[in-house]
Amino acid sequence: MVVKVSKPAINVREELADLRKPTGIAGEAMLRAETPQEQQELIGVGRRNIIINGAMRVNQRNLGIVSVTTTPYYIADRFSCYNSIGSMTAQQSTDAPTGFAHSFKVECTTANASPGVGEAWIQYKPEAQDMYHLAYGTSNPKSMTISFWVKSTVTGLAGFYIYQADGARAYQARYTVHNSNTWEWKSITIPGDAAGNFDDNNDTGAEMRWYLAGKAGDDNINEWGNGSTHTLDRTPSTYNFNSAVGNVFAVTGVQLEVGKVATPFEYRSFAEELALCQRYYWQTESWRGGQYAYDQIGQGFIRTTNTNDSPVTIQAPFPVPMRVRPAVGPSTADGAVNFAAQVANTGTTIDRIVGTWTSGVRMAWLDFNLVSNPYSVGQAVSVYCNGGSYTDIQFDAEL
Amino acid sequence: MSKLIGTNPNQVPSNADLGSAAFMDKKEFLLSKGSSLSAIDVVVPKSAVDVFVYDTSKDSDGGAWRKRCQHLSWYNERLNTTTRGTRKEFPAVAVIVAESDTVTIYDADDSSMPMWMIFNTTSGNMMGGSTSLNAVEMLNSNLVVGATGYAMQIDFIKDYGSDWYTNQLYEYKGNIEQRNDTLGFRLIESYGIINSTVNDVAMTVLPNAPIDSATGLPVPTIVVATAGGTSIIKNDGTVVDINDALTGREVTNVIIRGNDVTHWNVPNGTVQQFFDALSLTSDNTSDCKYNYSYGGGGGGTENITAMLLETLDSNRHLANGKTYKDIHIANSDGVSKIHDGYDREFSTNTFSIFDSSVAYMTSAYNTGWMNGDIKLATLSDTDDTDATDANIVTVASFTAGTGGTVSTSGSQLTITQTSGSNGRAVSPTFSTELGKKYMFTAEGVSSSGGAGFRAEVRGPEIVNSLFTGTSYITFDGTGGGLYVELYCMSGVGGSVTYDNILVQEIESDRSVNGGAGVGANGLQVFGTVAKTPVATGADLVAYSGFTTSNYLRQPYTTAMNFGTGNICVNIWAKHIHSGGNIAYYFFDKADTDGTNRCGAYYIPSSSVIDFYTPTGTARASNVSLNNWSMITFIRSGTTSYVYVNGVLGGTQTGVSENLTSNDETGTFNIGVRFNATEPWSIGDLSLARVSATAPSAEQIKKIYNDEKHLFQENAKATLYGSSDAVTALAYDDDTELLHVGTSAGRSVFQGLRRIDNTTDAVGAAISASNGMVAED
Repeated sequence: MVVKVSKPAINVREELADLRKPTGIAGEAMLRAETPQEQQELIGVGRRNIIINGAMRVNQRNLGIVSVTTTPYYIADRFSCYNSIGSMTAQQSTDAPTGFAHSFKVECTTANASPGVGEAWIQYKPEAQDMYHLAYGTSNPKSMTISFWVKSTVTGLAGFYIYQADGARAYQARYTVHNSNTWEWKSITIPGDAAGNFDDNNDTGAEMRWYLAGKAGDDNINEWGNGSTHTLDRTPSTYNFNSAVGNVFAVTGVQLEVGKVATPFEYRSFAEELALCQRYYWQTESWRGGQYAYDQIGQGFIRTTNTNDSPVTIQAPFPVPMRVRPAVGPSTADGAVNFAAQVANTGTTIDRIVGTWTSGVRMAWLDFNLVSNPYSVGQAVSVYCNGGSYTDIQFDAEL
Repeated sequence: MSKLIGTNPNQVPSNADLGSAAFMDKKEFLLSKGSSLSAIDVVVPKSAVDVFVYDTSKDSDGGAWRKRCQHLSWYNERLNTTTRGTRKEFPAVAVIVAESDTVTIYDADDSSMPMWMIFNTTSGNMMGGSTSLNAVEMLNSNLVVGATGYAMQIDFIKDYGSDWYTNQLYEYKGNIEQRNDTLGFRLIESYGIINSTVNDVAMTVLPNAPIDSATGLPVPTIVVATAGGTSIIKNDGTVVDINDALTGREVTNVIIRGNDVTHWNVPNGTVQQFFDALSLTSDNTSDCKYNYSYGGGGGGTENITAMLLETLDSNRHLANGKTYKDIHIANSDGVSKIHDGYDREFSTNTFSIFDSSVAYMTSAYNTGWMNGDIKLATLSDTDDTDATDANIVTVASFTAGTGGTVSTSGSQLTITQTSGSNGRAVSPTFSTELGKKYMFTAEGVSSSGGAGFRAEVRGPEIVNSLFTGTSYITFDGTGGGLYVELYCMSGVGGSVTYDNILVQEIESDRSVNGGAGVGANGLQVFGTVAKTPVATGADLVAYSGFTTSNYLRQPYTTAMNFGTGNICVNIWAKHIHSGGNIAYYFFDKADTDGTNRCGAYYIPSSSVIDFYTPTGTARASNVSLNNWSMITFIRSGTTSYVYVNGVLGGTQTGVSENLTSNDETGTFNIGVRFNATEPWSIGDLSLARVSATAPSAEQIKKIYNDEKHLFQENAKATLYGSSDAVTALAYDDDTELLHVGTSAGRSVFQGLRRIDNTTDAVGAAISASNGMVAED
């Protein structure tokens, strides 16, 4: 045999007009961009991460290690978990990959090696209006890419699920855990959905879940489908976090961004991340033996001389406007040791919170009874957290 | 201009050397040259085991490294020797030819393609001592040669060579200038590749590859296919081995697809896909998620559309495709063009990955895309000989064989057993044609003395023993000397009577279900169905002339029992002749009593296409089939759909028809209704496929857009020539052309259509990049 080499003749004019560059489609697009703004949009610089608290740094509830079963528990802000198959503990953990300080970690405490029904997951829910720009339901819906670090005792394929609340559409994907109990970075690109929808409002936009167990199957993977029919297949049948006590699953560095490429994690300042979280939840900081003793809740006045007719009413301003009028809790605090009122330089003990008169998205009116009421109507009053066992006042506008 | 290739490397051409070009400005030069540079058309008298077109513009720095080599040994090496050409600088485009014992780099910047550098494999040389080189590839200045004995890695910027062995890494004791000076090697690491017999090499640069401070380039990742498995030489210098077992299971071919590795595992007989393999940090035997097997379907751990195999598992080749989801697999039987589905992530034993597609391209047919769990692929021939129902063996020609007597009456044949354990009726020998398929049909109608029925095809020995009802045996044409036998299976004195005894050529099912064996693995021809090219000069043929007595029918087969599950029928049609206000059937599937039915027809007077089932009909309106059109009929869940040319035309909900035959009389009919009425008498049909997987709208659009090119004038669809044995395979990712070498020449495919071919036999290798093709 011989070696034959051939190449068609080159038209120099054509080549000059069509200078070949070692660039792909994305590279060509960059070169063709006419403004820096276009280039920024192409490579997704600037604010990219739709996820709030993806690094699991903010943990306002500060619950420690919590036993989780069938009530969704928020641990790190904006992230919750659930387990109706076995049981598990959940916590904000300092076990994290390089560059991260915290993770959302769950550990199996009651095993169920053969889950028949039920499910277990870690969940994040963005607001619909924060997903609206993905243009779902149009002829040109945008892809999005979620990336995250994961550490799992159980190896193999695991399931990630996203549900459009407004479009009632579901997408189920798989990622592979290669090595047990080792931090691994994953990215999943989710195509746009011309049949989907994200409303331009402050309701739930999506339910995004890292499935730990349950709803097993392997159909309908990697395609958008009707949420009412995509009811299974959320995790492969081979993956079961609940298979043994002590199994761990942890996630951090969660980033959701527009486009088909996962870019490096977007770090935000703690102050900014905290403020973003407080749109959904915040709580007063009661005495825990630390720096937050005597955190002021609000200021108001004495409206009656009675002790049990909500004589103290105060305004509690919110650190940031909240998503909706928050639920305020606890509704009945045994406040004997938890709150104090400062009235005309004389302290007294608040009995309990009666409820809110009104609650907007920027502040709430809180009413308190008094153990004794030697004050005059109209006197100014300031209510703050007292020492002892803590009872925070919680303002919850979570999705 | 002869001095320009003289012996003095520092010579400067004079104006006299340059001739008129010396006095032209660039505009005048272009005008004088007619704006073109000559084509390269060079023959190198070498017998290559592999070739590689190395285009340095594809390196991470676009080949800029070539300008930073003035200090290196090979740059300053004496030129114009037997192992060094006339040019110092590394060529922008090089053609690297590996013979069994020599590697030669040619300068493809020069249209005469002179030798630039030669590596000899004398023992102790940089290229090692093997006289059995197998593969060559180069990227980011790293030349990697796979040999029986080692994988040699030579870095032109580092001026350095290293030799990968089984669990050992050596370095050459000299630089590239000293490559042929037999300076020997020294051991530098006690780790290496899994096996020293290296069959194939693939390279890539990962997006996050570390920059080598010595070269300024990202470190490439190298994957080698060896006699013991596949080793990944990672860009951090570590090595990870992958296979389905790490115990001497040979891998012959390997390619990289994105972050995945795909290799051909010979003992397992499959092409295995390892997802995210380039991210592995330790040896792995369990991450194979796809297994492109000859059988397709579900396996122990894998599940995917089948690749083509009709005869032998040999001449193995792999090539990349347009995206990381595309792969080309070739062997002695042709090319399998595969597009992975959405379900790239796979978990074991769930039989879930049925949304991939495959198209088979041979010298005789092109199936078009077979989607998912394919059940039938037919009307894909390029032979325009009409299909007929000629019976090769007549009943009267059967004679008595061992242990029996034979009598015939009309179409019936009776065997009475006279001795031994059975009595036989034997047909005369008959001839068959290679590449065609045949079916032996016999209906057992009555028996006495407890006798049983048995049918056999002899030549290939295919036995259908103790059947009831009608026996179907599908067999391949293998030339002459075949015969068939019918048995009376009983004690002495028993008898059996057969009817409807036929040996006929059939319309082949080109899918994985169409192989030889017991069963109706193809379509029986009734009457005559005409075959003519789908367009003037086109390869693919159209099937026409359907009437109530001329049609195609697949007898009952369990493969076509869909129950209440999904079904997709994809078929191309063209309306040519005028018709009445009636339905003209594309296909119809039903039991003989019309139950368990789905069918589709066109009513030209109303311009509608219906996908009918007794529980609901989906209709596409305002349809014109005056040009070739692809019609796709889907039942997914309980909704049926009709697509025309990839566009949804109509849907129907509540379609719950059970499509499994109640009584094993279910047939699949093409060109007629289930009872052979309402024939497609108004035009042509082609490329029919039936699948148990419902494709997505996107997949349907892709199928249409790929296949429509086969219906144009002069559209070629097959491998050039008559050989299916692929000798070499290459994909040019710049031009998106697939090059397929056979003994007849090199076929060039764009998508499913062959757009060009050469007529010189291709030997062991093809490489193609940016339009340049090197082939042995």
